[in-house]
Amino acid sequence: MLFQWSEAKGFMTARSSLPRPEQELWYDRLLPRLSLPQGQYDTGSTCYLQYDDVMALLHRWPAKDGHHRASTRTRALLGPPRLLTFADAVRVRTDAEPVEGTDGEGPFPGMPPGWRAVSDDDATILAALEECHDRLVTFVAGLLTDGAEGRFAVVAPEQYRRALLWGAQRCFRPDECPPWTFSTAEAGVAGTDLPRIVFVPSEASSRGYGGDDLSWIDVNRPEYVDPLARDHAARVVDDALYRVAVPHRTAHNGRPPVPHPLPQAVPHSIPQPVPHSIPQGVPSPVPQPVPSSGPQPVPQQPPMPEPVGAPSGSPDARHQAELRTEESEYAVFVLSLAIGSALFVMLLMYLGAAL
Amino acid sequence: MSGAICDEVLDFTTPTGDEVSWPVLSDPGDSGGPFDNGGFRFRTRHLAAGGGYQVLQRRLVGSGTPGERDAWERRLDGEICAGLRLHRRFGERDQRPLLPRIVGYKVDVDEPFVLWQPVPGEPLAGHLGRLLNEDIDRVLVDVLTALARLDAVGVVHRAISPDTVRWDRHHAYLDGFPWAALAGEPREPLGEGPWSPPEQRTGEGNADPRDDVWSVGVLLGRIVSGTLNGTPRPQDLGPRFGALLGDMLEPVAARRPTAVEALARLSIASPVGRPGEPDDRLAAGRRRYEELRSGRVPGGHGAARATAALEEARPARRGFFRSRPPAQAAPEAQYPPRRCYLCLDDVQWTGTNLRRWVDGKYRALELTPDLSEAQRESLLLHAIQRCPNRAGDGPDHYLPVGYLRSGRPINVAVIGRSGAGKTHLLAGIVRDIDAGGLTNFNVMTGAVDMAGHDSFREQHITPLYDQGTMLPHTGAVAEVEYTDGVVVTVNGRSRPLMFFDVAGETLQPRQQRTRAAQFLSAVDALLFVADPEMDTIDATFGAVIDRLATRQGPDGRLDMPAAIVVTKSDLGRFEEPVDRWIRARSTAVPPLDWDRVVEESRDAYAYLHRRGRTGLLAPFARFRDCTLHFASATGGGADSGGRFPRGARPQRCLEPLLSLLAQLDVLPAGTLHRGAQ
Repeated sequence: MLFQWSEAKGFMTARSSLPRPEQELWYDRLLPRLSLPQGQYDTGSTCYLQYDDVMALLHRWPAKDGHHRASTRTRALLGPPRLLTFADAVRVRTDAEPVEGTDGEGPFPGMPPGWRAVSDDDATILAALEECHDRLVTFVAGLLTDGAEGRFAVVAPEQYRRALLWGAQRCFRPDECPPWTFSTAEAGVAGTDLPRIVFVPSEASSRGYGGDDLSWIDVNRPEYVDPLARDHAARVVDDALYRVAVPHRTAHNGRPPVPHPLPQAVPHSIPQPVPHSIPQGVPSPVPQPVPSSGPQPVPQQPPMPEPVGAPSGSPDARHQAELRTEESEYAVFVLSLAIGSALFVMLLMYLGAAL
Repeated sequence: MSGAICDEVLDFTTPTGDEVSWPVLSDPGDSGGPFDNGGFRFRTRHLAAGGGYQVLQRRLVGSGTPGERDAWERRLDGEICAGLRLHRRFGERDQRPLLPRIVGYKVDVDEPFVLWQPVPGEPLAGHLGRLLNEDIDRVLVDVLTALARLDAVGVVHRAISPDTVRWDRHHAYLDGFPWAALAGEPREPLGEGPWSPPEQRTGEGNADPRDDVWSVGVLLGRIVSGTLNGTPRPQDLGPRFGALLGDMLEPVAARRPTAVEALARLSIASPVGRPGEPDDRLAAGRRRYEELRSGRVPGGHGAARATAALEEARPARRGFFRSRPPAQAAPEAQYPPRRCYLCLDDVQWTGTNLRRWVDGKYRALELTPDLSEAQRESLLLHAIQRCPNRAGDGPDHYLPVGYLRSGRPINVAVIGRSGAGKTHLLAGIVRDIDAGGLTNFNVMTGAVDMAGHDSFREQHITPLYDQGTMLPHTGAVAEVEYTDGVVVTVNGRSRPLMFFDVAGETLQPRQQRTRAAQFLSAVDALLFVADPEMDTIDATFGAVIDRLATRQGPDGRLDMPAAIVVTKSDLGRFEEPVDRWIRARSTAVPPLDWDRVVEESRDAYAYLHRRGRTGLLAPFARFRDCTLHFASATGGGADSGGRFPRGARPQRCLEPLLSLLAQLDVLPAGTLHRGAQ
């Protein structure tokens, strides 16, 4: 969908591959997020949102209307989470506008070529991440500290925002259900429909809404973060980015853990089976294309139909499902062992009493 | 180089509104090059267009402060208005032009100009004392005929003298309108005796076409006597011209004859046809306005609200059996609950759950007992209190303490479609308030929330008025907040005046069910922003009116103050009747003359009616009290980069707000004059 300002109707749907009733539905849904935030008309921004089982990726780009007044031209890409992933969304640059392709307006089997053309590869993002490593540690520490159910308002320099999200994605598993949502630029923190992670200016101008239900992370101020959490976050980041170790699984729903108290409940203490597909050992400054931890390449063909009952999605998702199955079996085994032991003790006590 | 001919292309607008480019030839010695002596002036030069067509260009050159430029542009606008009014009324039908014809104009550029078809002849000053009797008759008839035409289009020349009247031995002509004003505008001091009438010299009252009749009387004395000294007396001019002079030199304009009446003394029929409205469509609009207005019951909401507010502020009266004063009320009881504009819950000032703007963020504020009263009040200036939000249908939110600890709030919503000019209008209103526009009416103002007001200033007023940048479109949001708020204090009683400017898309009919449109249930007054340039229907007006149906009285009219603002009026400033009002800049000086407000409303109604924008007039029919206004938030157009290189300036932005405050009985006694209307 393409939204832009028109003289006749104001901000409207200019083009869409959806039927008209759906266009109106999506216009109404997306309207509060379609415009660039006030005071931030210098560059573009992206928004990754979830509406039931559909993900929406918005690319908002500064434009001028017929009277040379600053406005926004916004493209929206809609798709299921397995096709429109968090990793894909993070890769889309905010300093360039997706180009209109010659291959129609979809539907596409993956990211459209016009969007891929303005997406960064991992090496580029990693290079940016090296410039803001400390900020990533602060960011991850904030995510770890402020709760699994939390939503986050993040203060960070514009040029590092996507890199921070990309780094966090390496540390956690945001593609799992429910996926993380984000906005690389918002003016304030008002609204119940805010994405899970929103980047806001240092002086968020929401007068009526204090953002009480949000956790605030200022990556420019590491001193605001608990030192223990920072140490832990540094290890998580180090593992995720440079050792290519097992991703730090958090809760089964992919959300950050709640370390109460730190560091007892850190992810390291949770025994995890090592997936066979993840290479171990040699640390590398550049992550290898690991299927289970890194962003997935855009599928060029529609995915093969999954067997009924089998976990759907990427290989990574299937691997996660396998891990969950193994964990369930392990838990059943431990529980059976405990029950058996208890019965055995009770039997001994009974026999002792009888004798 | 001197004397050489150079080419130039003039881009300008014709009287019919066409944009044209003319190659012209001009003398480089008269090209009006840099003028760096400081200040502004008009440079006049003759240009030769194709086919030997001659035009006279009067161009504004120089530099100075924005205020000085505004004054000079206003003069140029007066010239253009005069030329266009004459063109529209008489046009090409006039076979014997006694007045210069306008060829075109260009405004909103660094050096705006007007092009005239020059009149023939030489200044009359060189022929005084040498005119024959029939020449004198001819001069008088021509000049009075020209004045009658100016009178017919509501223009006052203001500078008739032997130097501005030209004579070609056959006819007399008026030479341009460098000081022209529209009839009814406040007089600006101009000229000296004996040529200028006394009221014009001192700048009293409003410009009147009979001001020029005084000057013709003096001119008559000069051309008859041939001398330039002394004020003419009837007995010095002989019986015929003495009778003509008669009461032309009465000190008060109202007692002088009009040009048509003076011509009748010479047995000349009126040269302008039937008197009355020059534009039948405008007249029809004005009649329609009066029909609608006369049929309605005067509004009572203003008085009712004022009474309620008074009751709110008035202490309990002592009764006979209650000789002791009542017990001191608890602090929170001093302030009745206020409706939250975000969730519509009632919120009581409690002094708890406070936050304060510190270091770029709102942080928890605890009012500890050890704080002095001054410290406490200082902290509360920046504070907000959490709304209990009992329904829990939205995120936690806060209201400014100034909203909860003042009198009854006045929530003003700015309504209109996207691109209508709501944001710019609000910026103009707040700028005028900051500039002391309300203080003139003894209405003291301050910020409801200082951080919020600073933010509005930084994001709206500074970019528009200090940096000359057009404001971006307001984006739609899920949760609406007030845009800016000021505390208005009248006679010691304070009330928060909150403005809500939301994206036009939020106000569209389909969006009325959303939370974002919920604030409309808490509004106390409405500013409808009408963009006359848009030829599509503005659905937001009807949608908002429908939503407010619960506020309608027994006759179906809504009991809520409303004003329709015709925005972007700078674009129509050469059009009748916009020119009359927008040229007046601001009339926001006490006392507010309600007759003038009604007059402006009638004109604005007729203007929209003539343009066929009847959909924009719906609020006038649906609200019991509704006024109409012309306003421009920028004072001119932006360039191709969306900037105002010569600065933006609000024109008449405060008038709609003053009308709402008058309807709400907020203006102090003595600052509002309600006449017969």
